Order: sequence, then C-alpha cells, then structure tokens
Amino acid sequence: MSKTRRPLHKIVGSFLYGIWRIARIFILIGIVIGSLFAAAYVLQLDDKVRKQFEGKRWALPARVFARPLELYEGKRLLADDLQKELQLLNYTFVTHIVGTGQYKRDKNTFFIQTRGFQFADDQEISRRIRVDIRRGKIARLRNTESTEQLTLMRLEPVLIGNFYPSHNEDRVLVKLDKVTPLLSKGLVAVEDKKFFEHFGVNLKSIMRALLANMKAGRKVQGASTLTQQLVKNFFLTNEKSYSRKINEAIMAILLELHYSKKEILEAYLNEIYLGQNGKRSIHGFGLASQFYFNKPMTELTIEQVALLIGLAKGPSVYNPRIHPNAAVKRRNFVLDVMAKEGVLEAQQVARLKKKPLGVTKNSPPSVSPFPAYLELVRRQLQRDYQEEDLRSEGLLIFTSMDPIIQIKAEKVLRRRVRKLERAKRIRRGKLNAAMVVSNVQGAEIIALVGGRDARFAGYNRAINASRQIGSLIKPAVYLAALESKMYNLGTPIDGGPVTVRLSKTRLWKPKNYSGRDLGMVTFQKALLYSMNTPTVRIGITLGLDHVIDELHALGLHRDIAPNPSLLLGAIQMTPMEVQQIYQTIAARGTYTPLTAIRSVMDSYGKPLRRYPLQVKQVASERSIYLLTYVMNKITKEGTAKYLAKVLPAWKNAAGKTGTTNRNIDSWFAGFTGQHVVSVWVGRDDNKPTGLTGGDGALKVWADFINSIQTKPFKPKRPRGLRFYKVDKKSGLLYNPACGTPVILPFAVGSEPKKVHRCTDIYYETPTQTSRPSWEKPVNRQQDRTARMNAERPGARIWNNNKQIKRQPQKQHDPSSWIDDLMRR
Amino acid sequence: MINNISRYKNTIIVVQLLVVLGILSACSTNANDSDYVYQRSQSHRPQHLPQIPEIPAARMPQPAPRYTPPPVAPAKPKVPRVTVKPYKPEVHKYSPNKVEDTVITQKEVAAVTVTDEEQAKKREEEIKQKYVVDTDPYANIPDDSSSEQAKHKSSRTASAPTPVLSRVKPVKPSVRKPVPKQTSSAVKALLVKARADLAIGRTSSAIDELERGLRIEPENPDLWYQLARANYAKKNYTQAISMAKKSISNTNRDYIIAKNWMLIKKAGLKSGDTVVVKEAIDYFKINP
Repeated sequence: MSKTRRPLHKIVGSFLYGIWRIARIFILIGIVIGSLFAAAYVLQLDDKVRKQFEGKRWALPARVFARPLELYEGKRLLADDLQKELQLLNYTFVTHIVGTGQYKRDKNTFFIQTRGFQFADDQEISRRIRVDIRRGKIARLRNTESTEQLTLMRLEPVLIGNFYPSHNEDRVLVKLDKVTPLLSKGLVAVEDKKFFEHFGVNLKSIMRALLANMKAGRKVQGASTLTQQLVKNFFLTNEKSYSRKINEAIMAILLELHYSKKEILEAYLNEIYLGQNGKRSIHGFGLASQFYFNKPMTELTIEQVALLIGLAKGPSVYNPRIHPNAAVKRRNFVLDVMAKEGVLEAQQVARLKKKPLGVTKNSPPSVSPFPAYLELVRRQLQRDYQEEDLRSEGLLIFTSMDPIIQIKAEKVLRRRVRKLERAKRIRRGKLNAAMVVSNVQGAEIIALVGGRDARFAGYNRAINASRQIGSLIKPAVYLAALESKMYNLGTPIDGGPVTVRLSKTRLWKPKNYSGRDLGMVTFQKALLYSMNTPTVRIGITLGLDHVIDELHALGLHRDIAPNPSLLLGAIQMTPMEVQQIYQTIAARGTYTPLTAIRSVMDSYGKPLRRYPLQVKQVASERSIYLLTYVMNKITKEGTAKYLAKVLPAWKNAAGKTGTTNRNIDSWFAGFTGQHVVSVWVGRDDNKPTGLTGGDGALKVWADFINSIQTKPFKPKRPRGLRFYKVDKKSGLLYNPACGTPVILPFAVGSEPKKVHRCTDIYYETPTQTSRPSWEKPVNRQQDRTARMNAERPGARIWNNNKQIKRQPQKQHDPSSWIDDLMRR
Repeated sequence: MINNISRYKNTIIVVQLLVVLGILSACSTNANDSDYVYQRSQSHRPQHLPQIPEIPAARMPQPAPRYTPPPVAPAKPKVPRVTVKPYKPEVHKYSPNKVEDTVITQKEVAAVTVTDEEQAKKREEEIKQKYVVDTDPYANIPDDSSSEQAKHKSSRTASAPTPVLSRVKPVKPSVRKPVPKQTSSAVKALLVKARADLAIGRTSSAIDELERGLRIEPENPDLWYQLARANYAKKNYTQAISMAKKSISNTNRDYIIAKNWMLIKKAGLKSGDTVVVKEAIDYFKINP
C-alpha cells in the first residue's frame, strides 16, 4: 500500500502538539502544585502577620509609680519639697503657663497646670491650680480656671522604675486619636505621600526607584511605603536582600488586606525605631518624646514633632544630641515638606525653622534611680504574679514610696556614714548602713535605703542583711512582761549578777555592758539604760515561750529557738523584720503587715489587685502605752539622750538603741507620731566598727528625722490607765515621810496597792524583799548574799549603788561561747 | 429517616448526658471571689461555718454579779456619809454609858448598812485618790514648729520642754478625755464619697477613699467605722471587728461607740466569734 507522504511541518507540528499535550498536563500540574505552595506560603505569612498584629503586639514593661502627692488645705508641705516633686514629674518651670506639665513659682505661691492621671477606678483631671504655702503648710488651694471647689486633689505619681521585658524593649503607647493630627499628616507627607491610596506597595514608586537606581548605578531612592517599613520593623531583621524585599511586599499587602489604614498607621507610630538608650532601643513616638524631650507626646511643640518625624528615616544619623546640625537640617526639611503638602502654613514654618532643637542635654537614665525599693516591690509582686507577666503585660503598679523622703534618706545616710567612717578611722568604703522608713498609719514603706550607694543596684541590706539585733529585742521582752500583768513600771528588779542554768552541766552568766552589779533597779530604769541582768531575770521568770509568742505576735515570722541568749538579742533579723516589730509597737499594738504596693492596674485602666489595709490588735493599748512611755524617756535620759540634744520638741520620738557583741552592729529603731524608722550601721565583712547603737545608727536616725517633716510622738491615753505618785525605789505608793516621789503610769489592775513604808531594810537581803511572791527568782540568792557579806560586812543600803570590784574569773567556763555577750 | 434516628438514639442520649454533666461541673467550679482580698491571714478559714443559732439575750446565763447586795439594804436609803470616817465611832461627851451604847449601835448600824469589804475598798480608793495624778506627759509637746519658729529650730535648750519625772505638775485642764478634733474638709469630702460608694455597692472604691482619708487623719473614728462597714460588706468579718474596735478606741462619743458595737455584734454573729458577741452584749447591758 502506498502512504501519502505527509508534509514535514505537519509531522513536526503533530509531534510538537503531542509533546505539548503531554507537557500541558505537567505544566498544569506544576502550576497547581506551585500555586498550592505559594498559597501555603502566603497563608503562613498571613498567619504570622495576623498573630503579631492581634496577639500580644508589644511586650510592655511594668511601670512602677510612687505615691501621688495629695494636696489639701492644711497639709504639711514645704515649698521646696513641692518644687522637687514637680521636677521629678518633669514639669517645666515657665514664666507663662500655656499647657499641661508647666508650673510657675513666685516665692511660696505656685501656679501649676497638672497633667491628670487615670488611677484605678478614679481619675484626676488636668487642672490649673494655685497653691499657697505658709509656714510649712498649704494655706490655700484654689482652682484658677473653674469654680470647682478644690478640697482634695492628687498630682500624678512619679514614675520610679520599670520591669523590662527580656529583650529590653519599652513603649509608651500612642493612640491615633489622642495625638496631634500634625504627626500623622506630617509623617505621611514626608515618608509616603500616597499612603491612604495604595494597597500596601506602591508600584509606581517602586518602578521609579528602580529606574533611578539603575541610572545611578547604586541605590539612591528607597521606595518603602509606611506599611512596608512597619513590616520591616515588626517582623524581619535588617537584612537587605531581594528575597526580603519580596517577603516584605507580600506581607505588606496582606497587612493592608486585614487591617485598616488607621490601624496600620497607629502601629507604625508605636513601632518605628527612633533611637538607642544604652541597651534599650527606643521604639515609637511616645517613648521617643520622653527620651528626647522628657515630655509626653501631648506636650510637644510643632517643630519638636517635626524633628521626631525626621528621625524615622535614620535615628543615628540624625541623632539630635550627637549630630545637632544634621538634626536641624533634617527637621527643617521636614517642615518644608509639611508646608509644601499643606499641612502647615508657610509663614508658620518660617518661624519654626528658627527655633532651637529643644532636646534635653542628657538622655534619661535607662535604669531606675531607686533599685532598692524596686527590689522590694518585685518581691511583693512575685507572690501574686509570674515574672513573665510582670515584664510583658504593661501593668501599672502603684506603690507607697515617697520620693522626696527617699532622696533625703539616701543623702542623710551617705553623709553620716562617711562622717562616722572618718571619726572611727575605718577604711574608706568599708562602713555601710541600711534604713527603712514607714508610716505609722497603714504600715506602708515610704523609703528604703539598701546601702550607701543608693543608685547602684547592689546588695540590698535592708531586705537581705540578717544581723544580730542586740538590745533591740528588749522592748519585746518588757512588753511581754507588761502584758502578763506581773510587772508594772515601778516594779523593782534585781540587777545583780544572774546565773541561768541551761542544762545539767552548763550555766550562763550574762553581764552588763559595764560589767557592774547594778543593784535593785526599777523596771523602767532597766529598760531605760538597757540593762542586761534585769532583762534576763524578767525573761526567765516570764518564760521564754511568752517572749517568743510576743515576738511572733509583733510580726516576726522566723522560727525562734528558745535559747536564753535570745533575751539579750542573740537572734538575727533583717532591718525589714526589725521595722515590722517596731511598726506594731508604734501603731499602738496594731499589727499590720508592712507593704510597699497599694494597687496594681492593667494597661487599660482596669484595677487588677488591691492591697487593702488589714489590722489586728496583738497587744493591749495599755501595755503599749507604758512601753512607749519608757521608750520615749530613752530618748531623753536613756541610752539615746543624744536625741534630746538634737531633736526639737515638736519631733518628740521614742526608740531603742541596739549594739551587738564587740560593737559589730549598731542599731537604732524608733518612731515619731507619723514615721517609724530603723537604721543599721555596720560592716559587710562583719568586723567590729567601734560604734555602739548610740554612736552610729542613732546619729543617722537623728539626721534623718531632722530633715523631714513629721508629727510628734503624742499618744492618746487609753482607757484603764492612771498615773500614780509612787516611791522611786520601791514602786509602792508614795509616802510623804520618806523616799522620793515619781509619777508613773500604771494599768488598772497592776498598780501598786500598798504604801511604801519608811524602812530601808526592805531590800537588805533578797529574802526579805517586798517583791510580790509570784516573782520567783531562778538564781540562787544565797550565793549572792553570801558573796556580798563576805566582801563587805553589814547590811547593804538600798541607796548606795557602790561599785563592786569584779571578781576575777577563776575557771574558764566551758559554756563561754555565749558567755561574752556584752550588749547594750 | 426513622431508621436513622433509632441508630443515633444512643449517641444522642450519651451526648445529652455529657452536656448535663458539663453544665453541672461548670456550675460547681465557681471560683471564690478573692480578687480584692489579701488572703494571707485567712488561709485557714473553713469553707462552711458552723450554724450559730441566734442567742436571744434572755437565754444567756446572767454574768455573776460582783457585788451581792445585803438582803436588807435596798429598801432603806443609805446613809450617805457613814463611811467617811469609819473608824471613829461617834462619842457623846457627857454620858460614858452612852458612849458604849453609841459604840454598839454604831457598830450595829455599820453591820447593817455597809460591809467590811466595801469599807476596805472605799478606804483604798480614798488613798488612791491621794496618789492618783491627773496628768499627761505629752501635753506640752507642740504639734509643729509654728510656735517656736526658725529661731529655736535647732536650739540645744529645746531638749526637755516636756516635764521630766519628778518635777511633773498636773496639767490643767484635765486631759482624761481627748479634745475632739475637727475633721478637715478633705476628710469630710472623702467620707461623703465613701458613704455614697458603700451605699451603691462599690466597696473597693470606698475602701480606697477611706484609706486615703486615714492617711490624712489616722485617728478619725468615722473613717474607721466606715472602713469596718466596708469590710463587713466584703465579708471580712475579722477585719470589720478589728476596725470597729479601733474606731471605739479613738472616740468618746457614745453614739459612735454604740454603732460600732452593733457592727461588732453583727460581724461576730456572722463569723462565729462568740467572745466578741458576748462583749457586745455586755456593752449593751451596761449602756442600753
């Protein structure tokens, strides 16, 4: 058969067609698979975009605020303290007030335009007020703009620190509708004119840029829209490659698909990188305005806003502190563009271009100036919040710190410790101290000093340094004695040498600071002069468990070993624990746990947690009155009589000194009518300082009380308390025929009932004392009298406090490991 | 269709059961509202308090009277000044017999109207009147520096304007009762706000405002009373009782004291603190 020969082109055509038909399928499959991959990839990007945008967008640090300063007529406030507070709040001192955050001072009259603040559930509006201060008090408080009666108001609280998220970022969130429209208009005009029209990428400008770059041979034009810049800041690192660019473009389009222009712009305002502060990068206009101008965004002037807009392009190149000329040029360029686009008027711009930059000279510190207090806050928060939540949820934490008092405390401590160092010739830098200050009402810690160098976040001695307290424990022992109603202030106690049997073989013979035998002393005198042997007698008679219970009731949450040396203070406590005990005593026997935080709020203004006041009466007001009566006398005639010299009468105070073995620790804990302050002075390496409580810590305390305003210690007399005239020595009712009278307070029920008889042989031999029979001495009295009679024949007359020569120790007592406790 | 339903009937039943179980379990896990309470001191409170029956006052045992009146005494009006000089019997000058008589009668009278214990007690009290001194060691302390002014601020002689021990003189006027201080207008405003908030039911804001007030005036009994009320509303009965007692210790006005004791009684009944309830009932017996 013959084939008609087909033309070649038809054969090839059909061959190609065949290939095409086969290839078509593959291409189709390839396109489908490719598009599936592309879709998956795009979806992945989309997911990333959405999650980042909607979920926790920015990890905000927790902000910690001090107490807001309350203003009301009659409040004690010094004009200089008010000014310091305003300075801490970054208020500008002006001649004419035009906006918020400004004040004017005319000697003792202040005109302030406050900023207002949203507290939890409660808002302070921004006001223009006038404050007149006379004689240390606010004499007049008026609202100068409205007729609103102003009885009570608060300034904003000072920001004292932040808890930063792990990557050290921070934001001050800016809301588009709360900020000046010039910002967004200017930004759009300078960076991306067609922002509101394009769909994420601006193809025209990309083309334009490509052409220009090709022509020039290198990159001369960028073409990023605001969306693309946002994506770059948000997600991707600063890598410059084409694949990145494509990714950027896709994500920008996706972003535009999901979110409105407004949302994207707002995110841009809060995300764009605008500077560097040490380790911290400054993102967002809100933070940048604080960083460069120390003011919130709402207080910036137009040219300052223009400067920030200009920084978006290159914050290090145009850094106004490092390259001021370049910064000025860039700012003026921005102003010109804004004029060209009609955002500003031309003559306005001409005027603004002449203005100076207006940035503050130094960048604000990137770490808190109060690290010791912040550590306290963190500890309290850790009980209720996780560390990550603290650092990322943008919580607002309101504390009770008083920055004015804190600064004064730090200064006083630093100076006095330096003086003490020089006086005792201690090597420079070795002596250190700690101080805790709190309010009597409410037990709120208002200042905490962890060491001499308060700015440095080092070892916080106030919270962590656990030291022996020495005589600081005596008020607890005497309080237990008073509460038991077995003792009153006039009860005579034997101050002679005491021996305590610790076990079958061991004895303990504590001595007084002076080593002297003090004879019979009244209860009051024993506390006044911080005598050891009477304290041990009282404590042992009472029973150590009563003393320990009293300590626990006063607020000490440690386990205490029932060791008799506890009575002389051989127990370790931190200044915070000491503060808690004295806080309870100062608050008339009301135990309130010390707290630094008042409340916690989330970043939307919702209150999250409050720390309300809690009170518990742990000691009767009568016993506390008696105890504090003696503690007040300590500051006048006792071991702290230095205070009588240096404190004025209207700063009447009560307190107790404490010294430990070999003068290693020097303590003073005391209170006025308004504040409770505990001070510790010592060396970190535990070597002796040569300072007693009265030499070291007391001086720091006195300096501090002299520097602050405080109310005097003037307790109200509780019910069931009377003052009796008693005989000075016997503590019985005064007999005008003999003896010296003294007026002492007594709780009804434990007051003396008998009248003092005029015979001296009351206390000749201990077995014939008129001490009540319920006081059973533990020590063997016969030894003592035998020894006395051996030394000196004849009855020992009560009046004479003759010094007895110390008998030399013949044998070395094996229990001497607690033997040489000499405390005051 | 019916076939299908019957096949799925079992699964429907199971699903319904599960739903019901789910609802039940959701209902039973209502968390305790512990937002605003600092739980540290109340961690061991039992969930359900024992039911305390209302104790009407009449059924409570009468407290043992401290002083038993003599069986004869109430009807007769007591001779007012018999006990002034109890050991000096009245002696008639002219009749020695009568002396004895009078002595005897005197003694008899004494035995009838006044007991020895009362005598001894009254004598003691008399002695005490001699020794009790009405004084306040803190009365001379100025409240601020305004009286002294800058000249004497750091004067070394300002050491002891307060009387020292033996040289103290009783201060006039008597300072047994604290002089009622005027509440400042700031605290008044806060009290008004707090009362209003309590009435609405915004207890947390009320507590905030009251604490603000306490920072200004720590010894204002009204603030403590309102704080006790707020804590009562929040069911913190122990705190309510402590704060009401603080309010009582800061005032002498009977009206406030009575209000506080009422609150203490209510809180005590609610929390099962019988000691406190008894104290409250005793108070109301003494001051009806």
